[in-house]
Formats: sequence, C-alpha cells, structure tokens
Amino acid sequence: MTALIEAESVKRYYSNASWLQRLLFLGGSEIQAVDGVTLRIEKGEIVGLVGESGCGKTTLGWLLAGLEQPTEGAVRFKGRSLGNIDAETRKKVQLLFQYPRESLNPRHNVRTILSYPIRKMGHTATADITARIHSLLEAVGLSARYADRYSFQLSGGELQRVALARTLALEPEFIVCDEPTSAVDMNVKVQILKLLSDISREKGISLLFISHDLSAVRFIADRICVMYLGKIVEQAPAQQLFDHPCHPYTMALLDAIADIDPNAIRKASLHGQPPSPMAPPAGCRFHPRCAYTEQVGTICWERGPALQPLSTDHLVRCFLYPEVSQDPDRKQ
Amino acid sequence: MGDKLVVLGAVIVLVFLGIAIFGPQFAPYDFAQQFRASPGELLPISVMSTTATGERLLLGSDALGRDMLSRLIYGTRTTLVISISSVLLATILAIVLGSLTGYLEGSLFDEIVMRLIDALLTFPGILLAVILVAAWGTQGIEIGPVTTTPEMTIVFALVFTFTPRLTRTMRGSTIPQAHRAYIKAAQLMGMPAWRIVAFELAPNCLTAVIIQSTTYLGLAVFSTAGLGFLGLGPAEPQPELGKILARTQEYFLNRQFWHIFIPGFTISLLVFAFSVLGDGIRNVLDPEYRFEKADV
Ligand SMILES: Nc1ncnc2c1ncn2[C@@H]1O[C@H](COP(=O)(O)OP(=O)(O)O)[C@@H](O)[C@H]1O
Ligand SMILES: [Mg+2]
Repeated sequence: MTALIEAESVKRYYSNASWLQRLLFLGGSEIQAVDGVTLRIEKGEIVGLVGESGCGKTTLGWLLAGLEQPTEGAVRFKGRSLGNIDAETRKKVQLLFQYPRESLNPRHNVRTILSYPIRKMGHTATADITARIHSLLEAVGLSARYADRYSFQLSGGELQRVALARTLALEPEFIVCDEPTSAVDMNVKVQILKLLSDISREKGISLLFISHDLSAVRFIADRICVMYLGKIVEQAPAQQLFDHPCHPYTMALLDAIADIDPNAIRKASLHGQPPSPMAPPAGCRFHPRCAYTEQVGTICWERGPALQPLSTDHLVRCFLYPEVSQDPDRKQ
Repeated sequence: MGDKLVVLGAVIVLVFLGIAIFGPQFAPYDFAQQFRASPGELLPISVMSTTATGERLLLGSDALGRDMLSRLIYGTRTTLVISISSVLLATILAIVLGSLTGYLEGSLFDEIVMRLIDALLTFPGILLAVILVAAWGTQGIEIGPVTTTPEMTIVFALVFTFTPRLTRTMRGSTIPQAHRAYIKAAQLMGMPAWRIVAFELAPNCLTAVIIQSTTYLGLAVFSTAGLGFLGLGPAEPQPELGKILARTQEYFLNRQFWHIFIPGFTISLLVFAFSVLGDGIRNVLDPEYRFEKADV
C-alpha cells in the first residue's frame, strides 16, 4: 500500500553563492537545511516533527506541502510526484503557516479570505458562500460574527483558527501545521491542539504537526520524528518514544521537559547551541553535544550513523545500537 | 506653519481646478478672437484698456491681440489636463509594471522591463519629453484609425518621463511584500498569478508610489509649461500657460515687459501649490518621512 504522502530521501540545500561564484564553480557556502529525509504518512495519521529551532522543520514542511522544491529526492502524494500533479489534487495538500498573522492578507476581512477557496471548490451563489463561511467558522470554533473582522482585530488563537478555516475550505487530505501553537498562551494552545486533533479524526485528514514543544506533540501525535540538523535521528510511535527514547538527543530533549518548572534552564544533558547547518560536524552531527560519545568511541566523528530499525516501527540513528544491515542512507 | 502652507496649497489647487473645469463659462471672450487697440494696428493691448471696437480687456492682450484673461483661463485648463492626466497614466502604468516585475523578480520579464527603464532614466529631467515631442511633432500622430490630439502627444511624452521612477518605487515596495506568507498562502490555494498580483499584492504596496506621484504633480505642471515655452506645446491657437509665457517676449516691442509676470506668476503659483500639497499628502501618508524631516 502506498502512503498518502511520502518523502523519499529529500534534500534541500540553500546556497548563498552568487551567479559568478557558481559560474566559476566556487561553491560559496551551502546550508543543508534538510539532508536526506525519508518519511511516510498514512491517511488520517498525525505525525509530530520536533527539533530545535533552525534544524530544518519548516523547510521539511514546505517540501511536503510543495512550497519548496527538493534539491534531491522526491515528494509523492498518493504515489504521484508533487512537482507534476494536477491542480485539483494539488489543493488537497495544504499548510498552516508558522505565523498566522503573516499568512492572512491585512487588507481582507475574514469573509473575503474564506470566499476565494470556497469559490474554488465550486460554490458560486452568494447564499451558498455565506452558508459555507458560517459552517467553516463554526467548524473551527468561531461565531459567524468573525466574518467581518480583519486580521488586526484578531488574537493569535483566532488568527490560527481563521487560517485553519481557510485550508479546510479546500477539503484537504493532508495539512502541514508549522508550529501552530508557538504564538499563543497555554489554554489557547490546548484548545487549538484539541481542535486540530478532532478535525483530523473527524475528516480523516493527515497532519504533519511541527513543533519544538514536546508536550504539544505528545498530546496530538500518533507517531513522532525527532529532527537534528537536517536529519531525522529518531522515529517512533508517540507512546514508545516517550517511554523508551533511544537517541541521546531525544533523551536530552525529554530530560529538559521533565523539569517541573517549564521555565527552568535546560539540564546539562543538552548544553550549548546546535552547530550551524552551514558547517555541520563531521561524522554523527550530534556528537559534539552527545553524552555517550566517549562510551561509543571514535566512530562517532569518523562517519555518520544510518537510520535503522530497532523494532518494526522504531527507527534510530545512533552507534549506541548495533548496525543491522547495509543501508543506502548510511553515508552522511 | 507647515500645515497652514498645505491648506493654502490645497485652496490654490482647488481654485485652479475650478478655473479649469468651469473656466469656459466665465471666460469673457473666445481665446482665439483678435482685438485691435486702434484700427489697422496689431500690437499688444495694455492691461485695463479698451479696444478699437469697445471691449475692455482686463489683462490686456497677447501680441496677436487675443484677450489675455481668456487665454489664461483656457491655458490653465490645457496645462492642468495635460499634467494631471500624464501623472495619472504614469502612476497606473507604474503600478501595473512595478507590481508585475516585483512579483516576478529575477524573471526574464523583470530583466527586460528594468533594463528599458534604466535606459529611459539616462535622460536627465524633461529632456526625454523634449526629444519625444520634437520627434513626434505637435500635430498629433496617426495610430491606425485614430489620430491623437497634440495634447495626447505631450501626455505620452510626459508619461515616458514619469513612469520609470514610479515603476522602480512600486517594484521596490512590491518585492518585500511578495515574499510574505499571505502570498505563499494564495499560491498554495492555487490562485492564478494575475489574481495574486491584482488583489493580494498590489493593494498592499501602493503607499510609496502614490506619495511619489502626488509630488510629481508640481513637476508635471512645470514640465508641461516648459515644453510649451520651448515651442513644443499644443498647436495654435490652443492656449497653454508655457506658450503664453513664451509669447510675452513680444511685449518688449511695446515696452510692456512686466506683462511677463501675468503668465509667469500663474505658473509659479500652480507649481508652488502642487508642491506644498504633495508634501502635505506625503506627510499624512508616510509619517516616518515627517519624523525624518523633523530631525534635520
Ligand atoms: N530561503 C532560505 N534561504 C537560505 N537559508 C534558509 C532558507 N530557509 C531556511 N534556511 C535555513 O535553513 C535552516 C533550517 O531552517 P528552518 O527550516 O526554518 O528551521 P526550523 O523551522 O526548524 O526552525 C536554517 O539554518 C535557516 O537559516
Ligand atoms: Mg520553523
């Protein structure tokens, strides 16, 4: 069975080389924002994507939504490459932007914002459109009064709901949610998470839920991918990942939220900033911050570990675990 | 003080607009009718004097005996129609070109348009308009079935002069907007590019270009009159402020050199009023500029 959406060893490199440098084959420097990610999402599944800021979550999300073209590799929706898919199917893949205020035109009110996708779905009569606007607003928990508001009159949570209503108007099958709760306070966050998970279950919409907030991901996701500097380092069902984290980076992240005070400084197990993706460390990208490097040995900086299965649905990229097979993804 | 100046500018502009619109109703004579001071003599008639046939000419006549006041009224109308429509057309053209090139930044279309604009910008001031009007002539051009009026020729020439800078401004304010998430969101919904530019992008990028075009109104009056003064205005007997000014040279024959002040003062007043009004509009629309000015 093919997955609803799948990424096959996708890479996205950003180059800051000028055309002259490129002409002379002087590379300039290159950011390996996403470096070989393979990910399958089934119908109705909610996959969480966690990692520190700058590790490439947004870039991966944009690749899956078709807003970015991969430097290498392919993204397929229902077995067909996103690059050459018909417009009708293309609309079924949508994205909620990281900053909802930015993603809504400041000049349009909610009615105008929602009308376009509604018309696009074939509703043309004015009464039809109005009814649809009201049902969409209701679906995201807003009253019909909001139809005449502008984005500057809305709070962070309301903005996110309007943005969600706009994507739902297109009856999507897959939505990338890029940190939808990063700009709202605690109780609004819970409401939004509940809303997303209810809508996903109700309509069978698959979600890629991006966040640097592990507790949010734990609440909503069926399966979790942990990303570090452009690579997925661990992937497991949500419960499994929280009960038995296997990658040292995941362990460190979990330690950090185990603190009772959420504002407390992270434990020493994850010290420092992630290295720049412009000059990723040789070998395992996590080794300069890893607590297990001494235990494992020099192999950590000699070559990069492959993402390999520990059990059928638990993958990890670390030399702590014996290498099982030759994986084509192994080098770097 | 600044605000009072703006009000003064606005009042003067309104008065001139009134003259341009309703002028024909209260112009005392036809602008082409020739009078004589005494039978047989064709010389400029002095201010407040009476013609051989008994008409009183409030501001005298030009060298061909035509009533100065009537010519000023009709001339104001011509000058204002030419300058306002050239700024309006240039602004519309700049909004279309600037938003398209801004949205399609780096594309072949963008490259071609911007290089053309660079080429047009190498002509200083109204030199380009002078060259264009001189080349096209002031008689009107035949384009297929339609023949343009001489006024339209001048408007086209001025549009060529004003559009490049306005387009650059519009493109400059479009580029940062084009990278914002609401544009990405529109693309993701499958919105066609023309619709994105016309309904999502361009309406959010207009402030700068509108500010600039209002400051161009004074320049447009000055340029129109300048072309007229250089003999590149509308053909005779159509009056135009610059043309009227040029013809006052002939008063020197009659030792009435101060006649030059009548059209000269009118042009200066109009340019002054448009300039202060343009500055005022800019201060309202662009508060940052006001702060900048206050600092100096
Ligand atoms: N358009 C771009 N051009 C150049 N570099 C980019 C671009 N987008 C993202 N990057 C870089 O790619 C890396 C990953 O960014 P991003 O995907 O936004 O991370 P995250 O969402 O996890 O914070 C960052 O180092 C960022 O600077
Ligand atoms: Mg991000």
